[in-house]
Amino acid sequence: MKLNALLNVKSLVGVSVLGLGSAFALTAWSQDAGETPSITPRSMADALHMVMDSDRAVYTRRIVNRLAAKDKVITASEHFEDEKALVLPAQMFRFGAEMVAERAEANPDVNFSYSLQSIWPINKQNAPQTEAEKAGLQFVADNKGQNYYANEELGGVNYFTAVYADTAVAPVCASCHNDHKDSPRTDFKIGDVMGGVVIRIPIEQ
Amino acid sequence: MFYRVTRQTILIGLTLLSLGVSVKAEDNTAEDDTAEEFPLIADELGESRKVWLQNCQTCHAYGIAGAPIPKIPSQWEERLQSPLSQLYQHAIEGFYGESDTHMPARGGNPALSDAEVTAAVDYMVALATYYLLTKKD
Repeated sequence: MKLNALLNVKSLVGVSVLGLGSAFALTAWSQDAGETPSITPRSMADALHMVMDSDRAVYTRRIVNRLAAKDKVITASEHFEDEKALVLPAQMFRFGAEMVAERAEANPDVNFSYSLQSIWPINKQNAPQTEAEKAGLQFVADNKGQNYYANEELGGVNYFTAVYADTAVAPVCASCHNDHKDSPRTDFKIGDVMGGVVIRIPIEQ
Repeated sequence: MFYRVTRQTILIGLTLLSLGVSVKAEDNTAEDDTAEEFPLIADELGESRKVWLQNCQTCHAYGIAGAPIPKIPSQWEERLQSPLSQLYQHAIEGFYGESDTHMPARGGNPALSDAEVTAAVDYMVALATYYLLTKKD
């Protein structure tokens, strides 16, 4: 009985030491893991895009589709301030990109950028500028369902650049662009690739 | 009711028949490069397939805006239990899904007739059945 009790105490001490040791090791590993590069730029860009795309889809469905299209309690409009309307999903996306640009500038550790661009932009500022942007937007337009990835050097800094197709998800996306006086293309239809999301992450080489 | 059951049965029958003769890309007229991914399934569905490729594929092949993809059985298993009349109605009149996803009326193409829309639905049901039966996810 005494032996059993002694063994139990020994076991308890052993398990405790093992547990404490594991906890310390796990803590140390966790701290290191947070500082150790363990994700590729491509995976990072894909993850960022997944979040952006999901947020935008939720806004489109749960807010715009439900309140503006289905229940008709409010409208969604490009001129949302004048018309006291909801911002369009693409505008919400742009506002997010602008806020990230401001916040990233103040925090170099999370220095990345994203933007919504098109080779048929209504606003010329949203046209591609770099070779990777031009090639990427053309690629996603020509190869539906595929993304474009490239490395590029801009201003002496190396970047990983990813381009994801931006598609007309509702008839109103196509008709709004087709009818806009500044649109260089007027034959969009639902499901067409209208542009792309460009994500740019600085990398060390 | 008799019409619905008959038509649905015919679609499943055509799909089963196509499996029996092993649908291949070269069996189709192959005027496009989508023949393997979206097989003809049955000669009777030739026109239906054309309408689907021209109007529905652009969203339903990729899951744009939450459109159910016929190549993914899990997205169609429950849907295939619905009466065809309901699928026709949703496609013609438009439909809001449970998560406020939106299927636009006539796939966003108001020029499509009721007959063309229902024909496209027929092909998509046959295609989803084909992938469900062959488990080609």
